[in-house]
Amino acid sequence: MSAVGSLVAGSLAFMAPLAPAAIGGLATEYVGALNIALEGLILVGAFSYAAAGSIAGPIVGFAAALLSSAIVAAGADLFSRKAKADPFVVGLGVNMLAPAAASILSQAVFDTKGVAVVAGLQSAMALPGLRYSDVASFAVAAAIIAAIAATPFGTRSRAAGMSRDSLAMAGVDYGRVRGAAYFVSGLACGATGAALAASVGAWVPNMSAGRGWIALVAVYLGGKRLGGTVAAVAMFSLLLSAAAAAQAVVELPAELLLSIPYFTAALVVIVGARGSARRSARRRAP
Amino acid sequence: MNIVRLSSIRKYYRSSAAQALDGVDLELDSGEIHAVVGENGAGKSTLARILCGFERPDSGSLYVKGERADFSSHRDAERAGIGFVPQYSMLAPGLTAAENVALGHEPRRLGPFTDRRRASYEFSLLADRYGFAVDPDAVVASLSAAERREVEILRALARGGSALVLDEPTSILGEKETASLFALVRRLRDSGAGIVYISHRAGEIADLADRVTVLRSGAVERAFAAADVDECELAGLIVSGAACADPDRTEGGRTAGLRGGAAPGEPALVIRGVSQRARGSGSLLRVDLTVRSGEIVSVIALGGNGLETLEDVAAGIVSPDEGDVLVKGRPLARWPGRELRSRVMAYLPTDRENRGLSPKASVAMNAVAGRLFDYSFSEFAAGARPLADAAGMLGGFGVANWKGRRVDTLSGGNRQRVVASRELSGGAEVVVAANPAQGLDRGARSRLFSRLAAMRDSGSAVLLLSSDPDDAAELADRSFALYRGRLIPVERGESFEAAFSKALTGARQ
Repeated sequence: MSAVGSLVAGSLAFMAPLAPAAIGGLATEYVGALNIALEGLILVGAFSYAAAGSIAGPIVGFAAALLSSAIVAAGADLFSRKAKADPFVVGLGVNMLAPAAASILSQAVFDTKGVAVVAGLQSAMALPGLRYSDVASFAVAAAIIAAIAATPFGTRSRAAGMSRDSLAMAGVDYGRVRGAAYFVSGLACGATGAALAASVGAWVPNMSAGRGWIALVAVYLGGKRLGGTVAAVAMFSLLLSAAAAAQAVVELPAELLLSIPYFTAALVVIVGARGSARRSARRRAP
Repeated sequence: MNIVRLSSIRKYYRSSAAQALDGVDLELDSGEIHAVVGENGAGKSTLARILCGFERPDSGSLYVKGERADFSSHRDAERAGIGFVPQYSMLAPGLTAAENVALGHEPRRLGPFTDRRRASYEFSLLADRYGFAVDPDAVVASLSAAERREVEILRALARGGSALVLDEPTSILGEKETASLFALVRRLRDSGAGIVYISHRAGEIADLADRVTVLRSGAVERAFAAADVDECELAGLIVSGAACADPDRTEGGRTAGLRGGAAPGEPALVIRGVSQRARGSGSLLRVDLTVRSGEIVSVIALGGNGLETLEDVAAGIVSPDEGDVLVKGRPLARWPGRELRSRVMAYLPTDRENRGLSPKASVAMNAVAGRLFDYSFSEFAAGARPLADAAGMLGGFGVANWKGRRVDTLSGGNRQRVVASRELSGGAEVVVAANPAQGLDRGARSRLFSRLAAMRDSGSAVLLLSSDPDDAAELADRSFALYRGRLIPVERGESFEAAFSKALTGARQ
């Protein structure tokens, strides 16, 4: 395979678990809520895939990953709405609770708190560099894109984020729209988690490795718009893939190389934030 | 035929501890325009919100075409044929006109997907039927205020349309748009719809209404056929009590004690050619106003005519889009904030909780907040001098029992006294007082007014912004009404209150 070809294939492999989480983050952004819990929800998905998959096989595992993440996300949102708790704080709670709960359950299910390799859960290659689980993950991302871009749910979500009054005028309950957005966000993180676990065929503690945060950065980098978020995800995946490939070529410490995508992302965010601040300042001026 | 009937509706708001509606009855027949009028806070908007299903009454009943009905959301009201056009925009700004109208009732295709083309098409049909020319695919944020209003009206008519509730619909419209709105409202009436028209503009109601219900403090004060009264009487009914061109009515003796003192001197606060765009109908249009030392100038307006914007501009909270604000000849923006606010300008804001006070700080700290830099570190740390100063200031306005208390434990009236203590103890040269008497009892009000009068007599320039014409009658040397962002001078003399009512409600003089 040519160098470019392998770079693209590599970035698709990076993109498969990142894309659903970012789109899920966008789904709650649409209703005006920042789902800070993406990282924790990915872990919930990954663990559910490994645990349910070890009992009933990868397909059931994938479905369990989607559902369990979605239920946790919607449940956390319901809790913050009913208890009038700050959704941000509740989300941080999910992020702290998820790895701890996974660790306890891991002891019960796999008899270890460490890495649990489950035979038969590593997904096979569908294409060079792309596993079946990655394809399923892309499919989930595509389905959510369709839902937020072209269904009444998407329009209502955007209306909820812009003006709750407009929803009241339409006789639509804001809480239900927000709950649905969190549910969708959970589905997406479940797909990400399942794709991660399926790529190695194992449950690894903290295997999300910051992908939830990168997904959030991608949402903001993309200006909280669909096209922008997809573009940001593609850019990250390319950078990550390039950094991984560069290890073989460039004689730099691997840690430094692998951190370049994150530094680049930070730089882009800072420059982007300054640009948008300047734009909005110009808009405010008479 | 009777479309909707409300009977003994009561509604209490715990958050503001206000009985918004206290046993209101209202009937709407088909083919009539029923005006609901009253001052701010009379309960008009609450009534509209209940009629349209946004809120549930605490008690009382609602009948649609004779049948008992219970609305749990606006969707229920729509099903009963009741549409609502809100005072301020309730559109999602980033969606298109057609998307806004279809929201919650989106046409579908291929199962779950929105049929955008059909939504646009249905919007165009609706717009054509009512003679509007809004582009269905235009994003709402890019539309003009009048076009947005058209979208709101179309949304209200899209479902139902046997009854339409319009809440202050003309407050953001110019004269031309107002005229075409009236034509539409008449057409709907003639085609058999019932219209509830909420307003405090006498001219409009005299033009338009068949029946009028006057609300005051949450109760129906009067209900009558519009033909029975003229525009003048109507203006008097909206603004409490003032009758029209009644020769017996002159300024009462109660004002004499306050007015008088030195002749006005140099201009201290000059507002020159100020225009400022604001949300809703709060815009100002080329306002010119000079307040000289030793005089009290009042500007009176009912809600939604630009008074809040004028307050922001005069106090330097916002700098106007056009024009200047000068304090003692120097542009307001060029005064250093500390110098301006500690020695030159006293400001009593309408929003005293957020702008006037720091609610979680102690009463004493709020009282001395304007002079913190007068204390040395050790004086402040020891606390004796600041506390003594606070005691002096608060005592002057009759705030008792304040030691060790936070501001948010005080009642509304006492909070305003704390603001007044801080702002009016220093002898500022310019005073901007916005609705200063709101929430004060009679005694506190007269104490505050005497203090303002005393400051005027010792050479302060006082700008009094209020929505209560009585404030102007009692205190002001010169008065203006603010109507739709323009200042209208109101001459003192006979039937002062009647003249005010007319100016405030836009009745033709």
